[in-house]
Amino acid sequence: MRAAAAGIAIVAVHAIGFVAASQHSAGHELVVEVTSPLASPALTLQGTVPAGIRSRVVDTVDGRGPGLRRERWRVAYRGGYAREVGASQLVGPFQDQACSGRVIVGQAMLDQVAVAMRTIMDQQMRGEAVFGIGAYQKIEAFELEWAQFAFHPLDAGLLGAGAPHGYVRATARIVFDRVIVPLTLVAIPEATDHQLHFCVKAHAAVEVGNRALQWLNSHVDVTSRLATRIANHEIDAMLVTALAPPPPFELDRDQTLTFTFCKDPVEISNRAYGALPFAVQLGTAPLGILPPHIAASHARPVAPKSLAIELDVDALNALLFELWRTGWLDKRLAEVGLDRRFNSDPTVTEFLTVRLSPLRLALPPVISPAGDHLELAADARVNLSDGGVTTVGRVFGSLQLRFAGMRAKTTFGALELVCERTATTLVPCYADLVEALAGRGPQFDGALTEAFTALTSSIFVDRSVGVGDLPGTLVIHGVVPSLAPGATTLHLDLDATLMR
Amino acid sequence: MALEVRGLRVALPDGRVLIDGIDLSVGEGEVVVLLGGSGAGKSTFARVLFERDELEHAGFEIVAAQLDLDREQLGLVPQRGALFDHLDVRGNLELALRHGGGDVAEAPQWLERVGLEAALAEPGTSVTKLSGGQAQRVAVARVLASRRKLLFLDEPSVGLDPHRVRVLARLIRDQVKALGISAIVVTHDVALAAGVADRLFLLSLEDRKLDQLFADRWPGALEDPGHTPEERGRWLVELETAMVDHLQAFGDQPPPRGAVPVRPWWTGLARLAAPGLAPFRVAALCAWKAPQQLVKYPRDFAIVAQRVLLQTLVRPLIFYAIVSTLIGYTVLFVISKVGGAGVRPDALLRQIGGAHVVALAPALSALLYVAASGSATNAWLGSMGLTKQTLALDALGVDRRAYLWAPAWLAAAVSYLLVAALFALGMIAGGLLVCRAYHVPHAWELLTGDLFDPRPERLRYTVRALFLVWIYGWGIASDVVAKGGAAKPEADAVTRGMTASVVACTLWVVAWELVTVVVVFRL
Repeated sequence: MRAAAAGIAIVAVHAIGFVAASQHSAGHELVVEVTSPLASPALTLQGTVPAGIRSRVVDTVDGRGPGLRRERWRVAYRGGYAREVGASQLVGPFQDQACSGRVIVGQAMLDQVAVAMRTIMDQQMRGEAVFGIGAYQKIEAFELEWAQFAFHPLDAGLLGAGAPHGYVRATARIVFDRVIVPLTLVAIPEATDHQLHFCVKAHAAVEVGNRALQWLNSHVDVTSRLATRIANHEIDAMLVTALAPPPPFELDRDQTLTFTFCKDPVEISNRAYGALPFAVQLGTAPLGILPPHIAASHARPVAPKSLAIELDVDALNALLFELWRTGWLDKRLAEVGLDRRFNSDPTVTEFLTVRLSPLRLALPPVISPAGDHLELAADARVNLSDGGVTTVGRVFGSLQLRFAGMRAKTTFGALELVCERTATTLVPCYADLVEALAGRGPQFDGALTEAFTALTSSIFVDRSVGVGDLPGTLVIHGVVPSLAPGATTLHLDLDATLMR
Repeated sequence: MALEVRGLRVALPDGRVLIDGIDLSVGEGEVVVLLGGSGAGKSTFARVLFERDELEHAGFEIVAAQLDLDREQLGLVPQRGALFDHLDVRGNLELALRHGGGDVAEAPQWLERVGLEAALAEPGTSVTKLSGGQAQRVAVARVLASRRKLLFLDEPSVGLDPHRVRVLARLIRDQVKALGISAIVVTHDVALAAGVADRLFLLSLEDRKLDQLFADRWPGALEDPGHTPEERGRWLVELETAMVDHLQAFGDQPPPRGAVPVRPWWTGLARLAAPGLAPFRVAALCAWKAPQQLVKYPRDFAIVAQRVLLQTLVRPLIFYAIVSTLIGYTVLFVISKVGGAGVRPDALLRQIGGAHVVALAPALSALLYVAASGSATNAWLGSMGLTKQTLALDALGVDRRAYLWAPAWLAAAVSYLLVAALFALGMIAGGLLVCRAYHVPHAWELLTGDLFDPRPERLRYTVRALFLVWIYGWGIASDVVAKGGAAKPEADAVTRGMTASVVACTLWVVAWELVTVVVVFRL
């Protein structure tokens, strides 16, 4: 009997031992304590992992410069499984209304403007009569061109102090009853703090066969009167309007995306283009969050057919920041309804217990150059409901933007999810599920491409812009994106027409 | 006196009296023969001497005014010799010599002493190759080698021809004289009885007492020198007549019914609980005795363990390999198909990894082990009881629990651990076939990840699996030894023991599966 009792005691000890062993066999879960701020002028991401697992953790940070940086703590297990916790930080230096975009007006667009300007000038000259040369008849051979002084040394008298960055040069022949007056007009761009204007100067050389009339004309300064009439401020206004930054983009009620002048000089290429720098007007976000300033060298603009906009990564990030700051992106995400699509997916409803809330972007998405493409990264929050328990999840995702041919191609980059045990304690969650979803990423590439195309189209395409005093409207029919070498600048070639 | 019994009474649990107040004394150098018909209590008397505790546990009532017996000096030659069939002839003798303090090198001499060739002591001579007479003489040699002072020979002439009966009788007489020992011979055989007996007793079917035959005129053992064939013939006839007359008169008389023994209520409860408690008792005993036996008698330990490993691991090895591979293949194949159309099978296989092995291998391997390997050892131990080999062990002074149970228990437990590992390997092999069909990369790492490097959330399941394998191992071994080592009064008891063990072990497995699942999921 004693032996039986001892045997039962052995079994009891085993049972107790198993309970104890089970309590201590949860393994060393990957738990990372992250107290770093969401945004910082310099990378300050730091996490603490439990000592028991520290030797197995591989800690990586994807870059250290400005941008949306992510630190990952990863433990790999046999069989190809891994558990990973990542945390994002928006790392500065941050932008301060930098000149990050350029409107590039090609010679073709200038030719369209010339037609409109000729009409205006013609109207202004009607009824004009000059003693000795007769009444105004018409304007002939009116041309506008982007010019550099080196190509027009005879303009030295008009340019005066010079136009180191180039100027707009207009030439015409004004036909009077007795003479034809050749007119040369230069419009030199001058930037002030928040404005661009053109200093317009004209020279009209009247040549008549009658020496008495020639003498008389020189004394009453017919040339000056003509030049003054033609070079009035309206030409300045017309040019300024034609070369203005993109008009405000209305996001939602009382919310607009605004582009402003900035002080960088206008770049002009002789008979090719004129590039006007502009900036994205930044609003104020909480926690000192601003778009990162990713130092990017400005490449020479690509001459457009008619009109183009170039946005470097800072401009893109400024745009995204504004779209995020105003809540526009969250609303679009809600409209896209990733959560609804997930929650109502037949596979999900049949097999999964977890449900998602709409995504909320915790930080502005950030675009950064990545070799031959751009990479868009975003850090969002989502509520995960599972069996009556709701957990805050941190979703990190990235897209790769490639531009070839007539359109952009968007491909799925990464999808990561970590859960907040507390606001600062991050743990892996639904790792296998996320891995499976990430594995399906390529299936979403087509939809992502469509979404990106729709986004750029909604901003630019079919926009009609009144062009100051010009008798017409600038209508954008389409946009062709491309990426400048180095992937630092997005070039949007706009199919634009100045409609009368 | 070698044995002194006064007023011995033995009653069955239902009150029937098998032996009713017998007196018997056996002097040194004396051979006493107990004759009796079937059911007269001859075997019961032997069990009183050798297995009194087990009889009492079984509910027998055993009362004796006096029972002076030096258990350490009591040796037994069971019916048909009961040679240990897991040992060769030499092994049988060596076991007796080792435990009797003799020199194992003397084994051939002991064979010669009983008239057998020393060549039988060559290693590898199986006991199953011996004739009945040879086996009986080896059994006598074995008990003599154990240097016991009082031999109990239970029906030693069963299956022997008349010539060999006489040879056996002379052998007994010679050795008793030569070694100065005493003997009790229980037999039906009048030739053997007359040949060896200094005194003759009849276990009476009439009054269940012991009656001395020819007390005042018995001439002594007729195989001793000095007795003529005529005298021997006359006594044989007279003895047979006495036996036949007694059996004709009382052969069909059932044992008298006495009062049903009144025992405390808890003894009945204890008897009912005994089979259930036996595995726990075995577990504790074997855990205690196995290390001692291993240290004290490593050769004995190795022999028994080797036999059990052969039964439980080596012989059914191919069975486990095939079944486990088939299960591993089938489980993963079914899982690969559960997604239906449009679901990538390899994604499902990646999700399951090696979880099915961790979850299923312990229980499945345990149940199969119980049915195949456990039953084999159960049957072997049961057959040893049925053929009185265990009784013979006791009679050699060999503790069956230390000699037989402990190594068998440890070997069965270790064998199960190996079977479980093999089973897991087989399931993985089956899984590899499925993974190969679906071009799953790194399939070996995938299927073994949960075993060798589980993710934190799965570590608990791996711990559970290891715990289950551990507790199934010694739990099944304990039950197999307990059921196999239990008394086997008849052949059917062996199969009953096997079935009971399968049922009990299945309950053991199911219980632990449920308990551990509850613990793992509640924590």
